[in-house]
Amino acid sequence: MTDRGPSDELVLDSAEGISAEPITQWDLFVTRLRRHRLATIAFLYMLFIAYVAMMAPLFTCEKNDTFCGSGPIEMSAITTGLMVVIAVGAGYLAYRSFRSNLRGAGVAIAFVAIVSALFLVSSWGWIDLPHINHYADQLPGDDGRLLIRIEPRGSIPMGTDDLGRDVLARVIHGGRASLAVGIVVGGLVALLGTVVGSLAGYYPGVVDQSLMRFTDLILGLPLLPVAIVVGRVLPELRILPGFLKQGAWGIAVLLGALLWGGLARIVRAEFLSLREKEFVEAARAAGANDRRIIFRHILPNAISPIIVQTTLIVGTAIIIEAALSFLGFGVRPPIPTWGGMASGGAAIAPRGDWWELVFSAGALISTVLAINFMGDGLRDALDPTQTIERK
Amino acid sequence: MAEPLLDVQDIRTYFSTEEGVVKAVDGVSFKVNAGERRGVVGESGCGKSVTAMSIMRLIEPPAGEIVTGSIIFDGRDLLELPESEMQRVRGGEIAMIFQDPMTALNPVYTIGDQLIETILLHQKVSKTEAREIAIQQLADVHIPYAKARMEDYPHQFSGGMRQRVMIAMGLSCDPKLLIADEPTTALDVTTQAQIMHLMLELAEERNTAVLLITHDLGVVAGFCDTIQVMYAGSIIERGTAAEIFNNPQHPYTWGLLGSMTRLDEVHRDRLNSVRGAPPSLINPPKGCRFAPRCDFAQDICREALPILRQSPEGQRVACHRADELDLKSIVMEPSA
Repeated sequence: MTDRGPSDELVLDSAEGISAEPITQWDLFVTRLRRHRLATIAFLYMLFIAYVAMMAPLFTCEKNDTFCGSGPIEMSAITTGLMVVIAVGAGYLAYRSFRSNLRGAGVAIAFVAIVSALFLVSSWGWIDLPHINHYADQLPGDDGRLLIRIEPRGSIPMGTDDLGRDVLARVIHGGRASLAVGIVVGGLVALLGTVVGSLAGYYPGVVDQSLMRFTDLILGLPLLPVAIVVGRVLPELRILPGFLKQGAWGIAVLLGALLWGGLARIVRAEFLSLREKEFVEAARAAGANDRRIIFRHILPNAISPIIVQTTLIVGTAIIIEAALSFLGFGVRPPIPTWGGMASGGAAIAPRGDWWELVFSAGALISTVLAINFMGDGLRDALDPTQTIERK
Repeated sequence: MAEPLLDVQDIRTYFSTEEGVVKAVDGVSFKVNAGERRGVVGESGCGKSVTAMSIMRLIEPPAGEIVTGSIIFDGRDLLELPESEMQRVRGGEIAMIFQDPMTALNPVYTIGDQLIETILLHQKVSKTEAREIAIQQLADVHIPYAKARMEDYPHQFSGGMRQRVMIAMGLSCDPKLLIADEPTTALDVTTQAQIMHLMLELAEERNTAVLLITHDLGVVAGFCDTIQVMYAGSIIERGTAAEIFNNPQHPYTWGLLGSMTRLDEVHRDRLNSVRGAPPSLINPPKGCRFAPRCDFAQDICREALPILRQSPEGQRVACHRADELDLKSIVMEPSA
């Protein structure tokens, strides 16, 4: 035993002489995400899909649009503002990506910035942009009637369906329904599953039991039949606000309310193990209350399974929405959805007209895959307990 | 004498299990004065940690419960306080340092965030002020480059450094009592003395009383004013460090001291140990709980539970035969 304390000459409060540069959380996140090649590609792909879906009305135009094909695109003040933000933001991100040697991301984001800027410029009438016509009715047949089911060719890269509508335009529009469903379901599931799971995992006994039995009940519901019945009834209900009755919103809320059970179980399991950890005890010994312990001390430690499960659920939700639309119980025609288009495509595919099925299903599959890869990458990148080897 | 800082009266903490009620702490009473360094020793499972948890009221009701007793701290009975008041006491007036610094820090926050959080919970200061205090605390526990290390995560710290951070966190709000539950058990021997030295030095500067829980007699010998020895849920001997070490009155204390490894003596034989294992806390034996393991047990020991009483030597001891036994002169036989 020595009477000398720890060597005092070491005690400096400046960073002088410290060997390693401090690494910020953002640096760690980027480095880890970069190592995950597939996730990076998936992330960029989703960025692209989301961007295209969001801007769908700008890429495509309806048959009777006066400005279709030539002249400036009319944009509302909100859209213009949004485009400015996107163009400037993407430009800055692209700049940063290049600075930190992320060339691939830089190119992709720069593309977004350039396209946004092009739209802005064209909306002010400085240049004309070509558009994808929603209806390919500029292509009349020999008898003067509208050509339907045109094979993919130069100006119509994905062909047209049996009503003569441009498949590319509809695939772009269809992404909106899928992404809306994905985002709403993801948000709802993350919220419900986390809240129910945390409370059940943190408070044993009555709270736990009643919440988990309710979860069992929700999980026990046969998903597709319930969704079909509720989806059929929803539009008839007068009390519902209009936006829930049509399009993808009602289905998204419905799926969100049905799909949170798995996440709740996972979060509960995480809480059951984390609440026994010594740092939780230490937090309580330091005077933290329950709310603080749940949200500040336990939840951040449970974040990676939540992220992974939520992304998986987003993928599942998109597929279920497509399945419902495929079966004709989802989003009503003529609103384009990938599932609905796959259904239409499947009807004409036996005749050899493969394109509508292939392109709509391809968009669906690639998107769901990308979301799952993204979840993988995010889990690895956000996990603060994982050590990182420096190259 | 002035009011003691902490006055624990006859607390009994029981845990319900499927086999029965485990009487982990069964009638423990003691007082700790302001600025005192009290050591609590005993082997694993004797109720040291549960005593500490009971004082902090960290025993959670469905599993365990403080059945009777009172814990008067600074004039208030902690067992009567509403939970919100208790949260203010925890960390603010009584701080606790845990056994394993590897797991006691939250892995997802920086050291600085965690220090600042504790400070903000108990002191009315701004975030910038809390930051200043936190840096000062880190420097006080001899963390080099305190300012830069604030931004680091627990996994970037060594075990000894983490325990120093825990000490900084414990002392950041100037508590009146610091409970250290085996603070050096998880550390290697070279770091242990450093950490103990640092902790007690800082506690002394701030006039913080320390309740040091350990099974390491060497640690209490060097650092504590008074010592209480616990066995099977109750205190069996209590006195000043000198009294306990020079003249143990209870055969268990005597056995513990005899089983210490010492560098200044040559052992030719096996190390001594107290034979047997502690009794079940569900159905403790009638009479003295140490009787089944005691070399000096007689009929009375197996019949009546001895109570803690003053011995002529000064300390308090719970043994029927304390007066007649002269343990000092008995040479311990190495157990086979």
